[in-house]
Amino acid sequence: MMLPTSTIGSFPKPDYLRDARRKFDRGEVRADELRRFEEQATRECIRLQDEIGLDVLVDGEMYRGDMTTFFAQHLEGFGISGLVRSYGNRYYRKPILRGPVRRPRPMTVDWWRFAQSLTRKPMKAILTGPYTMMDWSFDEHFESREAATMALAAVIHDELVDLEAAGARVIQIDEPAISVRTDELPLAIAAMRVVTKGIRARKIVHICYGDLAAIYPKMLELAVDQFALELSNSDYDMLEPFKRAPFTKEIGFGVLDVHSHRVESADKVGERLRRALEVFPSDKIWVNPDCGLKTRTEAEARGKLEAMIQATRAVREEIGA
Amino acid sequence: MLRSAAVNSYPRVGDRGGQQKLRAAIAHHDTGAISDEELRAVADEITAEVIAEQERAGIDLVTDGQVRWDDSLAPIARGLAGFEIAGLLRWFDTNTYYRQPVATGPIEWRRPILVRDFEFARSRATRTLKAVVTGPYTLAKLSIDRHYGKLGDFAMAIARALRSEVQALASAGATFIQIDEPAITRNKKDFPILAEALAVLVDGLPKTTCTCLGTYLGELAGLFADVVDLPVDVLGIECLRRDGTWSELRKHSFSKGLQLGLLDARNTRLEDPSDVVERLVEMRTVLRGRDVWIAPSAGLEFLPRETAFRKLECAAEIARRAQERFA
Repeated sequence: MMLPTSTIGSFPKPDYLRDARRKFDRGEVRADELRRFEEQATRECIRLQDEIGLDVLVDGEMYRGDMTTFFAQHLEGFGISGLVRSYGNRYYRKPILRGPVRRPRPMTVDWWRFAQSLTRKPMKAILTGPYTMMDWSFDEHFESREAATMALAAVIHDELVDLEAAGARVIQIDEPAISVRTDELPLAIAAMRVVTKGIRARKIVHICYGDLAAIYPKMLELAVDQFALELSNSDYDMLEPFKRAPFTKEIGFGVLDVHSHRVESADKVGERLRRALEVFPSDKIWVNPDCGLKTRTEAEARGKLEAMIQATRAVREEIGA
Repeated sequence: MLRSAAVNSYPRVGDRGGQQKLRAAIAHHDTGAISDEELRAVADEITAEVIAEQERAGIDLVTDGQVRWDDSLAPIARGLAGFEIAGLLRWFDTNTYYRQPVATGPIEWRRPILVRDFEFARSRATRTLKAVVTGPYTLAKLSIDRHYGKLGDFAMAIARALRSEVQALASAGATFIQIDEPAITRNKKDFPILAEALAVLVDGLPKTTCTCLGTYLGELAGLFADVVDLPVDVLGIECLRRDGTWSELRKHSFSKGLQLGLLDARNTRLEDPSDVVERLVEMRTVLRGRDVWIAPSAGLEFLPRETAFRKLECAAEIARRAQERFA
């Protein structure tokens, strides 16, 4: 299908799950009880995506809190810090690298299998990449940022191998930190080479909220098939550099501003998508929101995605796809 | 004389009981459940708490912890006429964000922005309380300019406006005023703009006011020959590396005081005080006879509160031990 639609990964957590997570933190809810709520929320999230008509689904990350902390909790070598500020009045617990990194068992494969069992559509597997894991953790163990990143790359590669063996055909690696320190792009590229080595599934890297222009076109050396990028939030400033140096990979084109409460109209989303067609071949475009939807309300997330689907169908018709 | 200093921010929440009070109050204020006055009362209480905590760590030059600041720019920009506040942007290469100010008209100072909170904090401090103002260059560099057209003109307009603020702080009794200009560490070619704006900003301050240029989240290496001529009394510099700004200290003759960011404010790994003391002893010919403050490399609010406290304890211990070695 032309212009496949997908999402970046996270969906808003329903109130009952937020409540259960809070109670779990206080020791008032058992792990197996929390798991039931997470499974229920995952089922609802997948049903929602099927109803809206998305083409490539995600599990919604109902069982994850912060995108780095979740993996740190499943890897040996990490501790978790006390509360630190993210921005405004938001706080989180940040991973701390305290020793050699080891993956005692697969981290996301069970959840992927469960999620895939709930739909006939392909289920995208989503992991946080090694460079972002390193950059967003405190490090009390490694001698250098390079050493930490490459150690993480090795264990994340093992997870990809297991996901592929389980049947995952689309795997997304989130590396939002890549666009922040241009001097370390070669490190991120080296790490991604390790992560995706020998993996035949479609490999997507998601990058957001940084200076993409500063890492383009060098970023195309990341060993992936597709770049899922946050673009609408910056009003498509990036399209000019993409025109100047050919974009040699697939683009996951961000058409929904996930930091805005406003639900875009299908017309507005259609306008955005048509801009993609000016720059990229239509068979190289996937359509998705800028970033994860977890900070939106459930109604906003649904409304935005419905507009995205409606707009994509209209554009497909226009181009005879 | 070697002493210890906090740079600017300090964690406003912590993991212990009662340390979430301000977070809860801000959330309640956002929903309208509590008034501005009620929020201010909680912020006052937390300000007093973090000042006491810094003093307990042994810090000589403390701050209010900037516990009321949602980021480093918006609190200043909101207080000036001519700014609006727009979307979230990453704060340098950290995993934190700030709301980007937008200049939509002439930037003007209308009324004191930080003075009330400074006076409250000072009334709670038993050590010297540092006042911190985000500098005109960094404010201009990180904001969107829809009015002036040139970065230099924009920065100068902010400098003229903020000059009234630093004067008001001095009149309110601020004896140590730090002007934060972190953006210069990553945009060294802009130095002439910073120099010009800073000169306007501090012009006319009483001689008794100690002024400090605060730089962090990057080094001043390559710029040190220029910064030593700036019209401030103290240079606040990050020197986590031996081969960066630290190695340049020896190469220039200058009379300014130094606030040395020797403890990594971005990592929980605790430095060994003995290592840092040895570094200072190696640099004793440069440091002796000068006002020197041992400090974290930046504000501490993005560390867990207990780690932040231990970093400050470490700074105080280093200052004490190095002073003994120098004596």
